[in-house]
Amino acid sequence: MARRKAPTVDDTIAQLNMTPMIDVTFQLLIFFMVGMQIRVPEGILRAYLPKDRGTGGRPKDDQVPPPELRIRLERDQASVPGNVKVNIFFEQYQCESIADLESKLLRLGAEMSTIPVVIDGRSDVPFRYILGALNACVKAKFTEISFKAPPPEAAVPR
Amino acid sequence: MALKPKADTDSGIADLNLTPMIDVTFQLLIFFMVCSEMAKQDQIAELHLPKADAAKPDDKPEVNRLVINVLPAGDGSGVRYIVAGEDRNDRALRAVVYKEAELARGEGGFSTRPVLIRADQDVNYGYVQRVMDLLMQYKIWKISFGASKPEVR
Repeated sequence: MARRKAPTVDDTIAQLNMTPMIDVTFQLLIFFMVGMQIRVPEGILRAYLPKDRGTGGRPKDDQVPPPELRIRLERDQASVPGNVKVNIFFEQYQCESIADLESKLLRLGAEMSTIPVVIDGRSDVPFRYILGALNACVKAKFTEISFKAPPPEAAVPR
Repeated sequence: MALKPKADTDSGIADLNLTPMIDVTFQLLIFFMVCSEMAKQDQIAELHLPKADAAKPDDKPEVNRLVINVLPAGDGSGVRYIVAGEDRNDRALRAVVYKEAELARGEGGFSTRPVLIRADQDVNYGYVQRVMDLLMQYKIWKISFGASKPEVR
């Protein structure tokens, strides 16, 4: 009777079935490729709400209001949904864009940066313009930036 | 001269070297596993933050920071306020803010609780003003706005 040859180590390695492992690996790869979200780098802009003059707060009669710079943002009446146009005013000057506002603020120079700036945005202005104005003030190194209180009718419902 | 034996089909398949392909596949797998971020509770995919290049990286968020997400309602009317992964109506939002403010009440009655407002770029400012007004009512003053950094070109 002929004796069967015992399997060598080389034979055992050659017979290792890689197919299930490759299948699982590809499944995992596809899962992570599909599930991956490209994350947009995110940051924060710090701001402080006034401690001493809350919404609706007004200075006492004998107090002279401190000088302040005012940025006003209003929705253009000609705006249509999907194409919102916002009018930006810095004091009495109308700015063409947030970039224009930024250049005006930067032109004031460092010596003016201690003057408080008030961002007065109307409630129907898209938030990106308000944040754009805040961003411009931060870039121009203004330190006292506040937001004008909303009118009473815009207060939070009880 | 001795002729070399012709390789048959079976031995050709057996010789296929899969090692480089498996190597590349594993490399890709590890890349995607490391890069993919599991959805965090307070980060919402449909919220598009406005761009601000002066925004500072939010790599060291304060402990116990309250995050209020403001995003447009799907039906085009109004907004949704999402705190800790849950939708809140005005009353519920007020309750959350009140509770958080009370937990960190400090000197002069002011709350030291930091608040991050993550508002969508297209929501009307009035809805964000509501949140700010609410925070001021409960004497929370330390706020920050979420912003996305513009892509570097």
